[in-house]
Amino acid sequence: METTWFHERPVSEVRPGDHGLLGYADAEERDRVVGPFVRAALATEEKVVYITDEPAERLPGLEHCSFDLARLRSSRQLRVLPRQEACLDRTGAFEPGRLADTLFRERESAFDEGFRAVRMTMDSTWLLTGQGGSETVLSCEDRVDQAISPSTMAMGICQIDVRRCGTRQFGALRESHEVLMRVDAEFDDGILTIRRIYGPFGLQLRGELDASRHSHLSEHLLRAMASRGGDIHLDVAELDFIDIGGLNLLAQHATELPKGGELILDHLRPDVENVITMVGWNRLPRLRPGARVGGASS
Amino acid sequence: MTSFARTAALEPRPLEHRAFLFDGMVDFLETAVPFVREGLEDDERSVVVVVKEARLAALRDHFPGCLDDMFVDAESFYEHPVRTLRSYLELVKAKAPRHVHALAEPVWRDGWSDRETLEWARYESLINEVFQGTGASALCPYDTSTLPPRILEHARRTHPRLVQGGGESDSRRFAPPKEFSAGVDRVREFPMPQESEYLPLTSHDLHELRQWVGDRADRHGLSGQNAQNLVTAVNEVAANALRHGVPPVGVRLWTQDVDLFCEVGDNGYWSTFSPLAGFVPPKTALESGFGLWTVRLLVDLVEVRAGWDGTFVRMRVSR
Repeated sequence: METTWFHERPVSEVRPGDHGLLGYADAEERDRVVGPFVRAALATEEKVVYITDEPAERLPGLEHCSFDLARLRSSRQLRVLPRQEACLDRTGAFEPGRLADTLFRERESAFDEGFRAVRMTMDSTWLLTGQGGSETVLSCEDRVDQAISPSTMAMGICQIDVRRCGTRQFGALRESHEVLMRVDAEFDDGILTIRRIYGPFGLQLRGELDASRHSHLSEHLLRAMASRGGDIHLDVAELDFIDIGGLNLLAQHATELPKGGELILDHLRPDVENVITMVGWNRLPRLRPGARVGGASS
Repeated sequence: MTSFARTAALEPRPLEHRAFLFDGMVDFLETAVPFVREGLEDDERSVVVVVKEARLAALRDHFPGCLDDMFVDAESFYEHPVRTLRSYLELVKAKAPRHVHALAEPVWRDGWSDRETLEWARYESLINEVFQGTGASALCPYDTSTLPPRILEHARRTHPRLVQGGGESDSRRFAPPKEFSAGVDRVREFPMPQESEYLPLTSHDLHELRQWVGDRADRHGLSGQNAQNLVTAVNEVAANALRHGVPPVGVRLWTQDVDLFCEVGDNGYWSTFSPLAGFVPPKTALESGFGLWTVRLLVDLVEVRAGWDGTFVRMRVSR
C-alpha cells in the first residue's frame, strides 16, 4: 500500500493553501485536473496565473471554452505569463527567486484587483529534464510553498509529466508537496467511488461494489475501454467488497476488450481476492491479478 | 504402442465410475493393486490414489517407484463436497490430455449428521454428471466391514457399476444424478428457530444488509474470512431474490449449537429450479449458475427450497 502521509485531493476539492503536485501520465489526465482547476476559477471571482509559453487558447480548460479570453486577460482575471517574464533570467536560465517573486506579486495584487482567490499553475517538466534536473525544482519549492501555503486565498498546482521523469525524481518532488492532485471521481455515492486512473490506465474502485452499482461501473468501464485499446487496469487497493455478480460483470466486459486485451486487478486485498481464489481465476477469462498489495507486478 | 492402440486413443473414453465394495485389507488390495497398475501401464492415464491412511500406506508399499504426489490422504481431500468436486475437476483438467485414473475413497465421518452424509452421497452422484466427457475412470472403495448399510446403499445408488468379490456388475439400484439429488432434497427438514432476527429487504442497495450480517456474524463468534464469505454469500442470494423474486424479500438469521444460519426468502416461485442447481461447476463466470455455485463454495451448506409458498435459500456456517 502507498504511504498516505500526504493528502490526495480531487481537483474540485482544492482549497486555499493547497500547494499540490500533479504527476500526469498523459495529456488527458493533465487536462482533467488542470482544466477544472482553471475553469472553476474563471467561472467565479477567482484569478488564474498560468506560467507557460503556450497561447492561452491552447491551455487545458481554455481550449474550445466559452470564456471571453481577451476580456478575462484585460481584467487580469486570467494571467498567462511567459516563462521569460515569470521565472527566467536574462540569459534564459531558470531563476528560482524570480519565480517566487512572480507568485508573491500576483497573489498580492489579486486582492486589490477584487478577486477572492488566486489559482496558480505551471508545468515544471521542462525544469526536470533541463540542466540541474530535480535539484533545480526542489531548490525553489520551499519558496513556492511560502507563496502559497500560508495564504488563505492562494492555491497552486505543479504539473509534472511522469513519463519524462524517473521514479526517484518524482518521489523527491512528492515529498516537497503536501497535496497530490487527482482527477475528480466519475461516480461517488458514498459507498462506491469510481475514478479514472492513468498510470497505468484504467479505473480506481473504492468502497463496495454491489448489484445496485453495477450499471455505474459498467458505464465507466465501457467509456474507459472506448477511449483506449489494450489492457484496462482496475486499482482495487481500497475496494472493501465485490459481489459475485460484480465478478460476472467484469468477466463480461473482459470479453469485449480488443483482442488480447485483459482486465487487470491491481492491489487486490487478500480478503477480497479470496472469493476469486475460491472460484478460480481460470473461471474469469481475460481477468488477471496485477500488482500485488505492497509489492511489484506479478 | 501399436497403431491400433493409437487409433483407439483418439476415441473419446466413456466415464467409468464404479463403487468397489470390499471386506478387509486383503480383499481391498486384490482389486486396488491391479487397478492402480492398469493405470500406470497406460500412457494415456494419470493415476491418483486418494484413500484412508492405513490403505494408503499399504498401497505405497506395492508401488515403491511411484512419486509421493500420486498418493493423497483422503482425510484432507474430502472436506467440503462442493469444494472437493471443484478441486477434483481442476485435477482432471490439469492432467489433460491424459485421463485421470483415480482410486477415490470418500471419507464417512462418525460424527456426521444424516444431512452431512447425504450431501457427500450427493457428491458421489454428481461425479456422474460433472465428469461426463472427461474420460476419467474412478474406482471408489467402500469398506463393507465398517460402513453402515445406509452408506453402502448410497454407494449402489450413486455408482452405475459395482465391483465386489472379484466380479463386476451393473448396479440395479443406480439412480441418475438429478433423480438422486431430488431424493436427497426431499428428505430435508427445515426446523424454524424459536428465536431469530429478521431484516426486510426493500431496496436494491445491499450495503445495510452486509453491515447487518457482518455485525451479527461478529457477535456470534464468526470472524475473519468466514464472516466475509458469509456476507458475500448472503449478499448474492439477496441480490438474486430482489432481482428475480417476488416481495416481500427478507433475511432471517439465527444460531443453533455451533452453527449460524442465514435464510433469504421471497414470495416468488422458482419454476425452473433443478435439484442440480449450483452443484455442477460452471466453466466460467459467464455461465448461468455461477452465482449459486459460488455461494455453495463460500459457506458450509446451502439448501434451496423452491415451493409454491416462496423461495428460501438457507445458508449454514460453523462458528
